[in-house]
Amino acid sequence: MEVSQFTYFQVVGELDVKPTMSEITYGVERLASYIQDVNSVFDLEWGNGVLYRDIFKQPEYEHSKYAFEESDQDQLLKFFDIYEATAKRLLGQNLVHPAYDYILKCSHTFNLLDARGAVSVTERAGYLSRIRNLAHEVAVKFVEEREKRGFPLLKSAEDKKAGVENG
Amino acid sequence: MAKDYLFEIGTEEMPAHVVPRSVKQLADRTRKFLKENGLKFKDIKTFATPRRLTILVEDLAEKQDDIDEVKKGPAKKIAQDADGNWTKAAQGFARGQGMTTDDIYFEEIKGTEYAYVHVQKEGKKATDILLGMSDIIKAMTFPTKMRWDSNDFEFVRPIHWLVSLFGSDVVPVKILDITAGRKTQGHRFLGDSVVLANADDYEDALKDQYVIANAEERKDMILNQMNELVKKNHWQVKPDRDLLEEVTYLVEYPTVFAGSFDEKYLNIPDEVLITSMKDNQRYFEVYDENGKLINHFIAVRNGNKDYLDNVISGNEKVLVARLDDAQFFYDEDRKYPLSHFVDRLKNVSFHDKIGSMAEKMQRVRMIGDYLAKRWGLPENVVKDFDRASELYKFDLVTQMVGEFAELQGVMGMHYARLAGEDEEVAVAIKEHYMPATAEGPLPETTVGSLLSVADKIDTIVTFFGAGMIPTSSNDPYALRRYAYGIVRILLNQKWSLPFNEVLPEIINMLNGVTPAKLPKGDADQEIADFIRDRVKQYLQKNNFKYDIVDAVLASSQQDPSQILAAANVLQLHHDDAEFKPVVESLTRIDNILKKSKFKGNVEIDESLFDDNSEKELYAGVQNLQKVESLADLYQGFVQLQPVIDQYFDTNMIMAKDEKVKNNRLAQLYAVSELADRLGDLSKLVIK
Repeated sequence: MEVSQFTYFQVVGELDVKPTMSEITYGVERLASYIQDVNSVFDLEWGNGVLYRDIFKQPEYEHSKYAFEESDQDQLLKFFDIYEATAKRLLGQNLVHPAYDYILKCSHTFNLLDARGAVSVTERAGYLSRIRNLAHEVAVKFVEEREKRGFPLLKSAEDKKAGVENG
Repeated sequence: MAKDYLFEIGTEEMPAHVVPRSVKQLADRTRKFLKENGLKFKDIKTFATPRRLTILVEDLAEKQDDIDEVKKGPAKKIAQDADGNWTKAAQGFARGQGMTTDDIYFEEIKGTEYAYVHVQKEGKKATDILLGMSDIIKAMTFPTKMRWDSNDFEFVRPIHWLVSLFGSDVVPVKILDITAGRKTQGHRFLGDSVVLANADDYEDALKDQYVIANAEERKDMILNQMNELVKKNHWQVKPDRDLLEEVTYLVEYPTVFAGSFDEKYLNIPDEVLITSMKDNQRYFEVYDENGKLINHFIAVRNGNKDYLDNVISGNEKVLVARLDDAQFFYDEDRKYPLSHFVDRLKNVSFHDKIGSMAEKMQRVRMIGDYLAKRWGLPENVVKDFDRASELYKFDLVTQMVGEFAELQGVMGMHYARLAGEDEEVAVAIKEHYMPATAEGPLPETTVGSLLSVADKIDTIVTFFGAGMIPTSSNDPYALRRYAYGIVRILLNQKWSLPFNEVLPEIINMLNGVTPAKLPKGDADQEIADFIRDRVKQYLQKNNFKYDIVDAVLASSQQDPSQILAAANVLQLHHDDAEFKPVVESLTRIDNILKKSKFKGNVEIDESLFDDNSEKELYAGVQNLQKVESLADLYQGFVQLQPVIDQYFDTNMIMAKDEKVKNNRLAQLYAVSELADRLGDLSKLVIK
């Protein structure tokens, strides 16, 4: 049973990352399901007799109900356009972090549209490329802004050099 | 003295499908490298696991052969000018031998002096040459590569260690900051690192560390353990070759085990269960003694038998989660009538530049109806085809096919059955994707064959119409495979289809009816040729003699079944005694017609005959024109051959009288037209 996943980040926002970063994730729930010997995540004991179910089941149900049945497609399509325009405007003002938030909203909105089957195969490619373009722009802008500040998180001179190469 | 050379590239886990071809690539590149460097060896063995690509070069020479040769160069008068200076030619000769002009001396042969050098070179040591293995690593190609650390260098996965041993000596090949040594790594969880004294110790030393380096041995272990389990439980298993191969390269130390799932999931179609097990989990499905799929599976662990029960229950748990999903999709899809899915096909794109699936289905129906009429197919076939053409892509928008794309067609069949559609309709929905590979199985039913042919013709016509025409090296939409599928189905169903005639009619019929762009101008003939090229592929694949293939394809015949029939006749009689005279007589006719540039635009006038042989040939040709089967036509030619020869013997074809000449040529032209039904016989190689 896999309980961890190791991911390399060679490219982020279409920029090569040097050195290549990696992320390790642990399936805490999976590990717990073995330790507690339960089959469903909802049967896990969170603590003091409180189950995962007691905390997460209702939100899960509500989100599913919304995402698959109650979401308003027309509204979501408008949201996507508004979030995209906002992200672009913020990028123009070098407000990297709020721009990034709006890009995440675009991505989330796309997922909601996709869940309803509202996006045809052809349109799908279009939406994905819009999100990808934004991700690239925000990545470029982020590196620019950090560079202006001399890459404050890179302390040694050699590291700074590597950081410039990123741009 | 020759010794074995071991070279191992140790990596992070590689994708299974990349491993076998990469180790082959490593061996091929090494073989070439050693040959280019003049290092003799016996053979190269390969070992491969997810974490290592290894070669063992057997009996590799310790050094290159020494060179001790006298090389002859240009004549002295070319090597030196009048003043005794070395010419460019002399300099080039010396440099080519790795020497300088100082090394040149002259010797006389038959009165002429020639330049010579005595080349003596000690062969380089293998241990020096083998340092170049780093260039082989750098040259290797992979479908996907990755960078790691701060390197620009890319490999399929990060390299962690190198072993490079010539006999017992380390050859310190370097790549990045890794220097090859004698230490290899055992199984990630069960083994330790091992220091190898000798190249030959490799396989056994790794076995002690729970690594079976030999892929064939691992595969045999898997099959043997699998057979044991199957025998014990009275099951059957039909191990999928690709899956077996994949699993072999997913593990370093295989242990086979069986698991099970709740019987309640057996209500889901077999194909779904198999896909859930195979594609997601790499499990082998299991059948009972009667061949019925049962609620067990067989899987392979990368490890030994320790805590195997835990592993089994873990695998069962993951599978159940998958099966729950499949059950959910199956239940959801069945809540709707087929029309619900068909309606949504308006919004499903067949291709951006062509249009929707709904539009495609309309065209396919028209094409199929046209073909059915042409072939005189019975009414019930047409009725079932029409129904199938209204439905056949609907499963693309079901949840099940959304999750398991490879079940397209199969799910359509199951859902159509459940919706009470005729069996013929349901099966045709599945069969229209066939053949799924070039030589894959063909549709078995008439309706399925018709739907498959119509669907594929539509695909080719609309792709050509939209300008997406395959080139010799690039065929991203597999149009060649579709065309080959059409040819195979036509031959299988004995359906005649002269494409040069049919395609313009189909394009005409669709014109104005569909928004898709259609081929214009000569494009229909281009498509006809494109399909005819696949007939060639078919004949070659089915072992027809190459000259017969050339001959039948050079005829003006466009109908694959007629071309095949001609090839069959020629192949059958190729070695008969009469074959040679018949072909020679018929080619003689063609040659005369070619020379005379006769266009065939003259009616034969019997009143101009003045010899019996002319009358005989005329009668013979008239009889043959009534013959339908090519086998009978060939037999007719066998009988006509003496008549033709007689005709040539007694008549001057190129008569002085223009009228008589044209009349005689017209007779020959009639024979030639008949012969063309078999092919261009001048292409045949007659012994």
